[in-house]
Amino acid sequence: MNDKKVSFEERLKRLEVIVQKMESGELALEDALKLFEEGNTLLKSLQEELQKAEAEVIRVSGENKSE
Amino acid sequence: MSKAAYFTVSQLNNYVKLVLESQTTLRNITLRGEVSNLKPHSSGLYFSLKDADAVISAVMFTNSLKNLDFPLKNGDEVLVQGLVTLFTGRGSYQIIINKIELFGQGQKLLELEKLKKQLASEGLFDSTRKRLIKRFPHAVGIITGQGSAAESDLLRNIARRYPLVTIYLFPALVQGEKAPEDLRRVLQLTRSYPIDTLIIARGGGSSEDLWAFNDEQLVRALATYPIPVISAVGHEIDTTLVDYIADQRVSTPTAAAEIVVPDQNELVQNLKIYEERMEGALTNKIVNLKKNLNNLAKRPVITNPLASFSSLHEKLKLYRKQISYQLGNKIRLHLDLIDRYYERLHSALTRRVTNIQHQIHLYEQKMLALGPDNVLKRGYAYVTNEDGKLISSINDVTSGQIVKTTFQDGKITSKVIEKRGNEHE
Repeated sequence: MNDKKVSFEERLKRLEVIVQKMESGELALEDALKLFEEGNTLLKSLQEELQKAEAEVIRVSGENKSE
Repeated sequence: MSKAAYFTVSQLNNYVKLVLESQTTLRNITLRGEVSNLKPHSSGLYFSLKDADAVISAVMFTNSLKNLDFPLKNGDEVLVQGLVTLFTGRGSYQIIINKIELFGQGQKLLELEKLKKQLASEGLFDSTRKRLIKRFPHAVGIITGQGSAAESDLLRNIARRYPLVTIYLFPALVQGEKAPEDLRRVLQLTRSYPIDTLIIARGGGSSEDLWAFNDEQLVRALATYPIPVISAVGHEIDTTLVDYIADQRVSTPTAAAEIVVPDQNELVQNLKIYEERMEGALTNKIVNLKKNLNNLAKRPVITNPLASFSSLHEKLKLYRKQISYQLGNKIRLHLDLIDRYYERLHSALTRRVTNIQHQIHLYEQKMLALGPDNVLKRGYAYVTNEDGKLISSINDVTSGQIVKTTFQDGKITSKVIEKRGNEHE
């Protein structure tokens, strides 16, 4: 199942913001490094989630079986 | 043959006409046939109705044309209501039509067209009503036939594209008389599940097969449905009313899978690009900082700090020189002035003092010369009163007063006998 704390979409959006901020070039080195670290963490979690996930199928009427 | 009893043609035709018109069945008959040989005329529409083996003339007079609510054309399968009678002038029988409608599918299509117009006029198909499909849905609902090709197609493609999603399958009847009601029931059921997007899907089929998706109540239920709906009913050419009301319409289940969820391969690709962009941005940052540092390092203050200090020192020295020179000049000037004033003052004072000393000396000489002792020596004497106070005028004494006269060798005491002023001499 998804990470319920912050959705995949929200984390992806945050990553997009980070990339844009970093590319604006107006950051101090320290801030850029912090963002880079945060971005990398997000990236890893997103990649992992996609790799590990398997779509869940729920049949609502008839026999309730998951595939 | 009896010559007394014969009919004229007119009499016969009128007789047959009466016979026909006396038949209840023929007076108001419902007849099915295909329109052919259509001829508009000022008095009405003239055409033939036929089936595979027979034909009958038909007329719809002008006063009945108000009941014709579609454009009648050759080949239309129609149901008509009218009176069977005889056209006496030609001895042919015909049907005079007062009502006509398209038969079967034709009629259904006509009704569908009317319903579509009605719903459109209510604004239900307006593009402004269309909602955006959520890009990253948590859960997707699918209404389709149980075990249908559409179902397996959707399941396979959605799961392959986006494994983070949960798929809710809502099997429904998608064909037949009970389909509209079942579709409405299942649509209502989906409302209690936490889905972000709903797909209504059915594979291709005849327009008859897809008829349930034109149900007015189903369309109206979809019009008030709370989340975006994707319809994938039939093929491109079979457009149903559900397609019109849906927020997005696609022609195949595969296409529905493509718009309902993102593709994980693309996402992974995008993530890689983000990674590269972040690394690139950071590298740029560091390279720029290095460049700046190098530029700074090349400045003389860093490369030869003493040089700049020594030049500063030179400057300071120069300033000091300039300052001491200027200051010195000023001080010297002032000192000169002070010296000059001092000299002037000094000589003036000296002169003054000398003068005063000289004068004092003169006064001493004079005073010595004027002293009473020297005067007495020269034969003078001086007179005082009894208290020793010097008397220098006759006004200082009265007659009979005792006075003392001092000489160089002693004193005498005498009495004033007479006093007389000089003017009296």
